[in-house]
Amino acid sequence: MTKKISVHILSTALIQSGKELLMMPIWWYTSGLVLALSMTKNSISNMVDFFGLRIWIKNLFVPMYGETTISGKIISFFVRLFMILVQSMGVILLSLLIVVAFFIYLIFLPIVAFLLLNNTFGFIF
Amino acid sequence: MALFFNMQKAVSIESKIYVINPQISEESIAKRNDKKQASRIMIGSGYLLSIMFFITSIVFVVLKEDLVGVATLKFWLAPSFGVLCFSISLLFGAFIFQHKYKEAKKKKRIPGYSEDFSNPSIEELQTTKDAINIVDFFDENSTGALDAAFELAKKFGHQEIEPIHIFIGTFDDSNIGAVLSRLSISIDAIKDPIGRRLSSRQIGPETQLSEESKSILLRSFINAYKQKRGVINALEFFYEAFKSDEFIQELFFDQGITKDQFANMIEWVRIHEKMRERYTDFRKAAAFKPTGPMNRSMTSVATPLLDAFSEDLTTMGVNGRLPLMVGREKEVKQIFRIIEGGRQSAVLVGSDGVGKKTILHGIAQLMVEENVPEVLKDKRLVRLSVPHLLSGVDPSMAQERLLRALNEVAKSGNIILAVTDIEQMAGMSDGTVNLATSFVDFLSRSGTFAIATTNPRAYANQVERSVLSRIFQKVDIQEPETNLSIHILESKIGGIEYEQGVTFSYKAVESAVSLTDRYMHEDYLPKKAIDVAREAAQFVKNTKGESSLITDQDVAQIISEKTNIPLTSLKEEEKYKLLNLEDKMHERVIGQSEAVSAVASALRRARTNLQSKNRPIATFLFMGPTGVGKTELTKTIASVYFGDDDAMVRLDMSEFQEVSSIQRLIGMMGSTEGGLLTEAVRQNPFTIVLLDEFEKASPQIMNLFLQVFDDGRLTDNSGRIIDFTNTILVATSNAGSEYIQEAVKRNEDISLIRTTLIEEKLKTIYSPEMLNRFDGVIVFKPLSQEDVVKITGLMIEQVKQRLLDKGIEFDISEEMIQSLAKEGYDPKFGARPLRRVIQEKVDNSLAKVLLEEDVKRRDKIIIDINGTRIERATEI
Repeated sequence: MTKKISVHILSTALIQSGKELLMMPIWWYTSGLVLALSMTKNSISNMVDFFGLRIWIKNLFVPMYGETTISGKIISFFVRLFMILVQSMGVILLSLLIVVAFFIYLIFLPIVAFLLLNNTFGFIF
Repeated sequence: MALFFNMQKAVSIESKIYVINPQISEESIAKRNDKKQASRIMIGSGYLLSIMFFITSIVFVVLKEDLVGVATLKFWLAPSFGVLCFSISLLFGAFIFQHKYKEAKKKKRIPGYSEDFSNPSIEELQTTKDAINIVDFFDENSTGALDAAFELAKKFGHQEIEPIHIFIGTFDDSNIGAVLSRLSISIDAIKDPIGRRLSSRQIGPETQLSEESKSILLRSFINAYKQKRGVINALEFFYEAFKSDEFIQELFFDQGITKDQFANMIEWVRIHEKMRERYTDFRKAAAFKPTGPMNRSMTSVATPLLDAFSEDLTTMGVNGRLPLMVGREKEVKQIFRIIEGGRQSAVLVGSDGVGKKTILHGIAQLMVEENVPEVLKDKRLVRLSVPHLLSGVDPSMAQERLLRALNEVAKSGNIILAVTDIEQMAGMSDGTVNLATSFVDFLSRSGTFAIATTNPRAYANQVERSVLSRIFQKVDIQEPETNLSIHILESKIGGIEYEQGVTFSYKAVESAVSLTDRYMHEDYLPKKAIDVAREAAQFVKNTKGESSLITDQDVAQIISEKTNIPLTSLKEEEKYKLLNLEDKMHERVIGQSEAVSAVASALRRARTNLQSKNRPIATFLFMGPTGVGKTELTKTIASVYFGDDDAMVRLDMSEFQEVSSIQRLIGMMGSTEGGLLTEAVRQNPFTIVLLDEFEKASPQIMNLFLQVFDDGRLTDNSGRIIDFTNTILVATSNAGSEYIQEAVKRNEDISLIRTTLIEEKLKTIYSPEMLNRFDGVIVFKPLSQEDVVKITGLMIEQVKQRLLDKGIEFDISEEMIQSLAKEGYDPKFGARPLRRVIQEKVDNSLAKVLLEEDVKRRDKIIIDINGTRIERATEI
């Protein structure tokens, strides 16, 4: 009985795996793509939070370190502007990495397919 | 187009309808299990194959290829076994990614929760196919529990899956195991009744979910929804099954667990899970909160002076050094409301130990999560230490320090001040300088807020009358009621268990709260319960070793040691003593059997916890002529019940004839010294209070005792509430003695004597409400000649004992005892002259013999009507 059940389960697993492998290209560019997009979006948003970019932009005209003199305000404005630029650079650079990762996702499946076919049959090139 | 509709049990929340429509049949369960196992196999083999091919590709590349070549396009384009393995490994990686995501997507989560939904209930609703099936929200364990319930019902051939099946079905869940073990319930103990219950269920061909069980599942969903949980777990099934099945409740009741206790235990698990979730969320949020003086927008200023006199609570929060707050949402909301209102700060007023500091810490953590009103965002909560500020300097220096620190606060702009015990500020004044004024002035000018704490007495005496009241709005922090205290303690138990390596049973937690609430009135919940729990954990670890279970008896023992009140359950020996209390008391008190049995019953009631919780253990009025045993009986109670003749507060009420003498009883206003009565009872709450000659006290003082008799409490000069609920109050009175003597002579019935006394003779002395408040007005009869003979015998026994200590035997003839009794009895003074007579006739002659003759050990002194003689012992 146990043997019968485990054979049944194994065959289920096998059939299911086959189905999923066959359907993978469709999933990859539909639900999978939505997932990858939202992951990319969340990562970039976390990055912005990590650098505190929103807070810095909001406080662009607020003097730093409580320096309320005119010169303090001017210096602080430029320092903030500079910091915002630096941080934006950081955000952009890291976001680029994330975007690259997204593009890798996009071309991942074709590349795997190409490598598989190329190495299995060796006849494309 | 509602084509498919029917009437069924459902819950409607925010225009969505939730129904229960489980797929439970043997096939569906088997199918589900197969799928689950197949999925596991798929994931497992996916990982295995992916790793295997990856390793093979590496090995192949290392062995066969040039490693540098890997970076070239040629390497990837030229067909090779290594790259093939690598690409297969990638394919399986993608397969795992896809499969896991699909599995995760299958698990639905209960949709968002809005704050203002009305309490949902189960109704019979017309449902359409749009209705949401709550089965989708079951987690793995709750699905398993329902399957197990079905299989159990099927095994017995039952027609319906009833609450009992669901209840048993949840047993495999680890949380349920924890609940049962903390409630000290073993499956073995409940196995038989459950078996009998199961065998009495109705048999039927097809097993279906009963209507009641459907309600259980729907109610579990409501619970999960209310707790903002994404899924429904087996614990909710377990709890709802308990609530809906009287048999299960009875089963637990039989094991000593009431409904309330069960609910509190479930709450414990919920709190535990919630804390775990909250901790994870908190750590995530804390990663963004800066520590140190600077805020995220860099608008603040460094505050070196303030830092020296303060601690940064938000930084402590970020570092995870603050305990999580439980159940104080109402107070926190109130504080936020005050602060959001603008231009007002809040002062938390509550006694020490009710959790003012915990609320401050809780607010600090909400600030870390930025889960606070706009005015508190990107701010830090800094606790200003007033004692630090004041230490070692005179008031004007202290003021300068304060002003400089406040200046830093103003400049910084990102600081919310917390000031614990703010009354210290109001107290620091030398006429010209006043810290409170400077502080209030600062707060009103700078637009900064402060959250202060103080206790009710200091608030009334110092804060309310000072300028502080202008800017500080009061938030009352009440002592949490018993159930909330239990929940708070439950939230702390995890930490204590981890520190000491012991486990608390639910009853230990409950008794830490209920016993401290009842017997330790000096401190407040929840702190006193937490302290006792810590002590009990330490104690159990030291006595029973690590990984022991702490029971309610361990906690009771700790509280017993602290209060001297016997709280542990009765041992056989003590039970025997209590059952034979009358005999034990009659060894010392002759006659007066009515009085003795009234007292003995009261003591038995007290020790078995049947006495009223808000009144003294017992209050008696002992009436009768002098020398009949009133004081002796009181002493006997002290000795028998409290273990010591002197465990007694004795007040001669003839000393309290003036109204002004109230101050001697409860302490003088403004003085730090406590009163005679209040201080004695405060220090030893488990005692007898003997009020001798009660009728002589001033009527106002008697009124004071009315409150003690009624509520078991009295407020002393410093406002402390003294607990009298563990005292026995005995008032003695000679009023009406003459009437008693005459009536007894006339052979009147004792109950008639008492009625006449109460209704006629005592009316002018005691007010009717006073007489009504005594548990027993006990009339002591005048002693008869036989009684006096017996008392003489008892007193002679004492003499014998004293001589025996010296190794000398003593005997007295019967005629001599009779003669002593006759001489020592006075109808007016009872047996009072007896002691003097025995002293003269017995003690004196014994002293003489001992001095004149050479009395050796083992010799016997005999006193009879003819005089004293010695019987020498035979030589050895």
